[in-house]
Amino acid sequence: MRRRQAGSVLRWLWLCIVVAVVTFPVYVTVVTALLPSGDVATGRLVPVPDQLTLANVRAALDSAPLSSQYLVSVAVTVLQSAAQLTTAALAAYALVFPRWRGRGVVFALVLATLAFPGESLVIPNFELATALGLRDTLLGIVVPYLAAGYAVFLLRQAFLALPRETWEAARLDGCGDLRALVHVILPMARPQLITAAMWCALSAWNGYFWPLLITDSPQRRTIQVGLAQLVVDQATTPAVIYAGTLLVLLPTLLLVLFGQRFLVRGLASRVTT
Amino acid sequence: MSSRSSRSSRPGRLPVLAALLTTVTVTTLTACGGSGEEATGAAPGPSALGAAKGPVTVTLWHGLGGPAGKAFQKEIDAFNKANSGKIVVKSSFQGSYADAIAKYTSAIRDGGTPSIMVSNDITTGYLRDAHQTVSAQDMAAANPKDLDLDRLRPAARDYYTADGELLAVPLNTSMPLLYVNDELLDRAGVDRSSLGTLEGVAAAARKIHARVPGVKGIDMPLDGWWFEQLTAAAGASYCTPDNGRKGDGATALSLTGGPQRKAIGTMAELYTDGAALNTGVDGNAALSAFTAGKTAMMFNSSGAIGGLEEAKMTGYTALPYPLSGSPSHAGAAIGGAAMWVDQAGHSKAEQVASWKAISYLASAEAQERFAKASGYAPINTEVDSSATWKQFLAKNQPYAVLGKQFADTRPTTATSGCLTGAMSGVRAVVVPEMQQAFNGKAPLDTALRAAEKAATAKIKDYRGQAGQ
Repeated sequence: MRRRQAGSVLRWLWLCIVVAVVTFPVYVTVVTALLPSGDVATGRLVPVPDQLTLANVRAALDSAPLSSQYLVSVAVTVLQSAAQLTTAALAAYALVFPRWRGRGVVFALVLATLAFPGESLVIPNFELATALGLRDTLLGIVVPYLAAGYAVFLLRQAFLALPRETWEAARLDGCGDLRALVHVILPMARPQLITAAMWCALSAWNGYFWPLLITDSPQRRTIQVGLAQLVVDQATTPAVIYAGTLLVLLPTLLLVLFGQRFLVRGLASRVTT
Repeated sequence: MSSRSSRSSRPGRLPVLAALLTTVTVTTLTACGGSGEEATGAAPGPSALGAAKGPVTVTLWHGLGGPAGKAFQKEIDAFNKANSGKIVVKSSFQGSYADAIAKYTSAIRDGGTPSIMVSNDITTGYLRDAHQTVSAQDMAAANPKDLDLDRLRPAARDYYTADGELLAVPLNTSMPLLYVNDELLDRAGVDRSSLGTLEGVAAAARKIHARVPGVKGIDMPLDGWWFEQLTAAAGASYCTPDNGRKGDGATALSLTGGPQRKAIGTMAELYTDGAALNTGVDGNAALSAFTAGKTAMMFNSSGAIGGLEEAKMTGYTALPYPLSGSPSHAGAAIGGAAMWVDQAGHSKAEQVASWKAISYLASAEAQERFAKASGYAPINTEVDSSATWKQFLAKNQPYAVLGKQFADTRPTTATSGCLTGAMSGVRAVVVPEMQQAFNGKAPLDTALRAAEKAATAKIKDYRGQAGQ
């Protein structure tokens, strides 16, 4: 009994440490963003606010067209995530349910795309997008990322864990492939689908180098590029950078807060090969 | 299909971008595999612009963010207003200098480079070897009524000169300075007149550490620029022969020469003996420690003046960067960026319009306004005689020190800094080795030899790729 209590205390202690480690950077970001600029460089590891101000947030919004870039980021995130989820669901369905020769090879090729560093694709993508007239357009930001190997992998594993008989029953009842996927398979794999959606959304929201490369006009750029515009090597203003970071962080923070239940369930679900 | 997020996480992005640049350099510099053309024509004159039908559009890429970016855009707007109906400059922020040069490199291959590229000091060698630009020297000769190159500050002009030819026009220039906390220096009984040499600064750092409890003598960012500064201030060349400024260019890095070894060793000992505070590579971390009173002195860029103002720090003095070599040939090297006129893929009218814009941005009036707003030192010597600039310096001691140091720096082989297209790669391999030495994890001579060997290999690789 006493040993069990001790174990419980230790577990709680460990969880508290983990929570502190995870939330500390967020706390520093939020508090520093709201500190008067003169109170930032105090050398304290943990900033303790005497007073809070929105001056840094205003300065960040004034330094770059962050509000219009916010809208671009939202559009990119929605379009890219929707496209990636659609292509991933279709690909995963084709790799799991219908029987056809070469499925394993195709899946291996999908997995192989995960081994390529994104940067190695930048130059060919840039040349192709330029040739297609997609420079400095919203479509140009999204097109190279309409499909994501990791999302295909995630959904394939989720579909493999489902009872095949369900799919067969749906087919016997006259469901076509698309109907079986939308009305039978996807509802059963909802946690993994939400996990994949969150992963796609976070990746799209955090995109930096490609949007920078393919766009030139400030109003066609994403919030991440706008954030970079706050960083300077002269007259550095850390408080303003923190404020910009806070603005960029808020949507992802909310997404993780509200979706963490699904994220954990999705990632912890049984992996089948 | 994307294999991963389109975002490159920022902390780890530089090595990746360096690798990307290296990969593309192979095809870009050897002009195979890409559709990019090379700059081969002579510099066009005013008649090319006169023959243009309608306003000429000039695209400009830069990496200036924050207050400097806003001040820069104001000058662009003013130029556009003054040249309404004739020239339109469309400027575009392209991320950090590393991001901007990566994008430029990509654009070479599809002929989509900007008319003007503003790029930082260490990309000078690369841009020269890319053969996309027409030299500032030629443009000035073909357009004598525009920018007078003799008005450029010698130290800045010299940095962007190779084989006697000015390649690009400096836009924004920073320099290293020594910042001291007046109260802490007084408490330690340090005589400021001793701080003109590196030995004097080292002695003062030890004195402060011994006499003022809880305070370290000095800190500085341990990034690549500072080992280059220690070398220039020792009067030595960072790369050989002649800092890559003549003939065939740089073939090796030098880190083990006597004066250099002594200067770097002086600083390293302060760290290993505990008299200096290790704040890593970040200039902001060094600044935070200084403003918090954890260190009494700091080596930092002139850009830190703005950071100190932002932190509302008072009771500090900026002093010139101390020398360890003879003032006749030693001194600080500049940092910052310069403006390049792209020729390949751009019309003659566009090139002349670009030169007009550059001439305006380098003019005394524009430079004075830009310097006041951004914290950079003005690169036009005519600013020195401006009454409003003199008033500004009288009220801003650190800028006065920066201006005097900039004006007094002699254009020598040492102060011109190392010119090689491999500079990004050189910094990437030198810094980790130096950190080992400054942390006391490796003997200094071992670290210097390792850094020299690795950096020389980078230079040789680059030369091989560039067919030099």
